[in-house]
Amino acid sequence: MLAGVLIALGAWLQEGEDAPSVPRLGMPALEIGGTTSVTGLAFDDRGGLWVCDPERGGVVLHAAGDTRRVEVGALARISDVAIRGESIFVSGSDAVVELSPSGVELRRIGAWGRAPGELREPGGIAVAGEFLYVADTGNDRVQRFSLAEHAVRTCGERGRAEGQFLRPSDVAVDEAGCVYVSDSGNHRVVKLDRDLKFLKAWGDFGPHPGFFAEPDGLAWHAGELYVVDADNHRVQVFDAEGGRRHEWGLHALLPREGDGKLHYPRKIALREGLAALSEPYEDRVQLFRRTEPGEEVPQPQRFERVVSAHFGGHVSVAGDLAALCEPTAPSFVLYDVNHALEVWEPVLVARTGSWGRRVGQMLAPSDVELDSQRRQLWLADADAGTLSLWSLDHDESKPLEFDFFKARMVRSLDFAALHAQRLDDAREPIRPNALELGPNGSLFVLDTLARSLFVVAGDLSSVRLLCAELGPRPVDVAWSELHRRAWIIDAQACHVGSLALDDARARYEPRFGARGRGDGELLSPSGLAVAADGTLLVVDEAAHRVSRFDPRGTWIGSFGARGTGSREFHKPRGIDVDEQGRAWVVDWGNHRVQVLSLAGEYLASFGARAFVREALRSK
Amino acid sequence: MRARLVHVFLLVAACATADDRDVSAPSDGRHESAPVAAPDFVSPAALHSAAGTYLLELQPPLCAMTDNESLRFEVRVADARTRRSALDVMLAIDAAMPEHGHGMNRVPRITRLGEGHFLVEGMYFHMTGRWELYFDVTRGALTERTQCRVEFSDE
Repeated sequence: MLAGVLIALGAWLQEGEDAPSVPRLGMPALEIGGTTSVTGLAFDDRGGLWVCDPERGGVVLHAAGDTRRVEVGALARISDVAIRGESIFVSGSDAVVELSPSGVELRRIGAWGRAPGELREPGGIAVAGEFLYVADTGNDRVQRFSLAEHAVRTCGERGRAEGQFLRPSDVAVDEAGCVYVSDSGNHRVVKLDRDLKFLKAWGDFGPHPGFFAEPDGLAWHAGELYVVDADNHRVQVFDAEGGRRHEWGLHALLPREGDGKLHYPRKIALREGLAALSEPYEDRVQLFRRTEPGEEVPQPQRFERVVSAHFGGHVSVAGDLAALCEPTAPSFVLYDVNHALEVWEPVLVARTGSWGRRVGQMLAPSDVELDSQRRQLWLADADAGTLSLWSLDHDESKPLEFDFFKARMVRSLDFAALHAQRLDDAREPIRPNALELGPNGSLFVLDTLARSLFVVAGDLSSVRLLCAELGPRPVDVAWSELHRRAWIIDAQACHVGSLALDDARARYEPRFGARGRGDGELLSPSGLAVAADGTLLVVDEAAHRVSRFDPRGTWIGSFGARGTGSREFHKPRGIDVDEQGRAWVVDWGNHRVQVLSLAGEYLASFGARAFVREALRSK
Repeated sequence: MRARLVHVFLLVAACATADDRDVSAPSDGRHESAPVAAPDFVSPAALHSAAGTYLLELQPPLCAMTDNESLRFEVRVADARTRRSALDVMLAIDAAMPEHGHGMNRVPRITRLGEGHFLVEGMYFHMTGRWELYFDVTRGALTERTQCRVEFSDE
């Protein structure tokens, strides 16, 4: 019976694809390592490959016999590159710059903001004719800048209807001037005409052919649209009307596995017979060539069993539970941390969530926060623009078991509806990126793009703006009961700041931090926690380590290095400190959480894939 | 094959009722009517919402539910404090089988009959086993859930 279903499904999957004998892209050819968190890439007219190197603030040319670096010092968080003739266009956190081959800035397009012509964390760019097209990710729109005159055309707003986008991440332009947009948060591709008017959209969330999970990079080449289907670890190829041609991509299962295996690919560039894919997760670029006669592209593993957790960027530990969200599932998970097993290890006791736009469902949960006293949990979903409160039925005295019914939603707050009623003091609907339990059962809600911190009543009955002038990219918040202060880390400025809550409108002050790899310096801070003694633990995603500071900013020490073993991390993100003084670090790139002492001694890990466990046993 | 409803569980979360109703304020500034002598809502079988703000009454009641049959019932939503019909609320209904990772395969239709009074049609439980029912009452930006569990077993 099952075999029959698989055969029928296989036949359906083949429908509409090119015959295997037609040469097509997808054969692994070459791997370029040594890049760090590589994002965008582009081929130039001579066949050279330009690759963004955001950590070092530049773009690198890889060409036959030539590797050249162009610094882009005036642009933070480089995201994409496009080449036109001798000009190099590079997008960053708040602008696109045009550079000469020697790196001289010729033109700067855009500035931070929401008005037409302004940008917020733009993603992919494309240059076609006299126009520069920008996926203005943070403003949920696409913008077209004329390179010949000062003119801009804007298309889109936040949403899912025609003419709306949710975190659009890349653009591509065909010969007719039609514009394709990877509408990442809506898991679809949108086609616009040359005047940026909506023509059609295709795709939805899912793993099957024609569906997407966070589509990102786009490239139009030889009459075909190449779509990087990031969370499905593959590339899908379509014609101009969305008709599916073929796909390639095998999900990497071993750490740093290459040879054509993909792991969260992001951007794509094409030239005749060659595709380049960036994989910031793996710090590499892979090249794929066309098939030769008789060759076939390795087929994707469609029925792969999920063998590990894909935790999000935050962890919350309180009382006898630890909670994490899984944005790609999407769901949140609960681990019991108090049961006396032979070997102490958190035990998975609940998983809750389903993808959808109805109340209680999730699009991409961004953070969870536990309140052990009230036996409840808050869940933030930045894409959905919601904050929900869940009650937890977890009794330590009962036998340890997994229970699908452990969490029940109590209330849900819709920030778009709140903003429409002007009850939030905010300039736009709140995107809840990070949460932290505050004083008296209240909750801090951090909105990264709005650079704002809010405080929400514990029962979600009221919302108050605390500060709308945080640093350029605040990504996490932690409350210190000892100092009555909310601490915030900024991933772009690489500093730690704080707000005292004594005043009615709290004032944010950067306190300490400097960019670098040295002791006490930060490269890309991503998570923050406060220990009971008031010291601060800062997770550094790019440096793969945790650093500890006293409240004055004096560096106490660091632990961690890049790797898969114990006390090693791969792009760690979130952190929390429990009542026993243990640090729980989301080792995001290794799909696990490591529990360590504040001095960095390894205690346990969970959520890991089998290979990571083996790596730990061999230590 | 028809199945028999064997269990109905009402789940009420242990959360305090909010005093501050800012975010659930009606958008037109209207407020609930003051309590009067004769409440609209007196059924002891009424369901309490998870934070205690609302009372929900189903007619016919939950215990009459069946599987493999398109269900039609009315829901009355009242303010738990006054037991008067809740004003300016919307109702959404959903159901899921968390152990199986799916919901209903049909979308029920909801018609507003009056303030706090709704007709639900097309509710359909296509499998035996444990289902969770979600009644989501929205006022303003805030939605509050009333949740119960029904279990169907093969006859």
